[in-house]
Amino acid sequence: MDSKNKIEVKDLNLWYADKQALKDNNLHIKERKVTALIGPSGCGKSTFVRCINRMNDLIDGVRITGSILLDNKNIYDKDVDVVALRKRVGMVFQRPNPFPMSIFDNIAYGPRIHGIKDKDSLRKIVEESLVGAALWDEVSDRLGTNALDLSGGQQQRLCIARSLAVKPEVILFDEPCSALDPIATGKIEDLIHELRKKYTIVIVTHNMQQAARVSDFTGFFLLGKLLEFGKTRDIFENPKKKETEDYITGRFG
Amino acid sequence: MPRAKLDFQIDTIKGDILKMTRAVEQQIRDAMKALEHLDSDLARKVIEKDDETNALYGEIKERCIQTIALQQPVAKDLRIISISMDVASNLERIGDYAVDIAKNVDYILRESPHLSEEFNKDVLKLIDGNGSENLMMEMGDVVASMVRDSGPAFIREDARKIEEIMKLEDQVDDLFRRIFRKLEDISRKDIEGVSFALNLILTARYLERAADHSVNITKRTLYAMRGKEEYI
Repeated sequence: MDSKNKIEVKDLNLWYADKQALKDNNLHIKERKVTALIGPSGCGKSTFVRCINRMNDLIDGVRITGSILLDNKNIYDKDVDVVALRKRVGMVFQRPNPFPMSIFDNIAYGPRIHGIKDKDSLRKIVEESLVGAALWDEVSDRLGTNALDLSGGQQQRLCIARSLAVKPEVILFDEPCSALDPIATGKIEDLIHELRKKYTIVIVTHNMQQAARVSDFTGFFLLGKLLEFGKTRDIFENPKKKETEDYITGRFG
Repeated sequence: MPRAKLDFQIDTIKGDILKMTRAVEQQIRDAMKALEHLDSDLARKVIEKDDETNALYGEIKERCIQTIALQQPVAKDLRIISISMDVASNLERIGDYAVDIAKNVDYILRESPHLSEEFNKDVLKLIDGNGSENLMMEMGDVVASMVRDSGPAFIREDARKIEEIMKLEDQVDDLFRRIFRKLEDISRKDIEGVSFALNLILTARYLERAADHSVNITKRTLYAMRGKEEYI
């Protein structure tokens, strides 16, 4: 419980042009814990999670105030190398998005960009990453086949393996199971449970049972504001705010 | 409306809890009436009635489990549903105590002719609703009212009723002690009547336990309302 704060979000505001999408958000994300973010569509949870590796920088007209400290260093400081930041803070998206290349090259892509050329080193990284993503046993004999030939669930685990390959510290999951069937979803959830031993995990999900199953902490967003944050158990057993209770019990949203 | 099914299940569970509360209260009242009038037929009815109470308990439990499995309730919904199972279980135990009291009626009928007239007079005074020292009937009445109020207090989350039920527990404990002393005195006077007196003490004990189960219901209700355990 008392692990250190990996990420500290302070007074975070975000505007898409004139429209404010995040309002004065403050939140601490604990190291090597799973933090789930829930809330109705358009509440700002995906926008929020994308701030953590500065994915919103790529969108025109976005303005951000406040700070996000990663190990006490503000990632929005001018001297921060965004590429290096995204190596430390990986991301897995809603739809699996493997590159149209072999399984091996998908995983080796990141390490190659970061300068690793040696074949043995790459092979080791590919194996470790696929083992870490619980995919090795299913693909070890066909690393040369096109990643697009894998099933949806396998593709998503491949994307997780790809993020592990650059040895991140934090992994952001944005609705990682929404395009997957229950079996594949179960595998990803088991995997998240394993990954939390080594990585700090933030997961955005519409599936509240999933948030309850996989996370240690849960934050509830509404209209761009983090309305309630606490231990997952407390949020789902006895939320403090009426809005949280109404949302998780299906009274709105 | 995504909650329509869940709301229907919760309402049905609550309705069944009220039905079960009424049935169990009646069992207690009838058991005491059977004791008061030494009415063997009524005692048998109380015993037979228990099958219905048990069946209702089974239905409530089944519906609660089904609702948890199919609707995946959380937060207060989950507390209400899981505590409905506790409430029903406590009511079921109260029903069992009513049966135990009713079973004692036959024993009293069988034994009382063999005992001295004076002993019988004393004891009957204790259990006879028209006597001056009708402690047992008074106790039965208090317990029945605790049972009567416990189910609705849960359904309506009625904090005032909960407090009233909790206060009555002291009265029940006091009555139990007085009955105990009285029967102790009586059995000292007539050694033949000891096992008879012990049976009546058991009856008082069953009532006291039924009161405890009513208080359990109120404690669980506080948990359902507030989401934290109350140690009272």
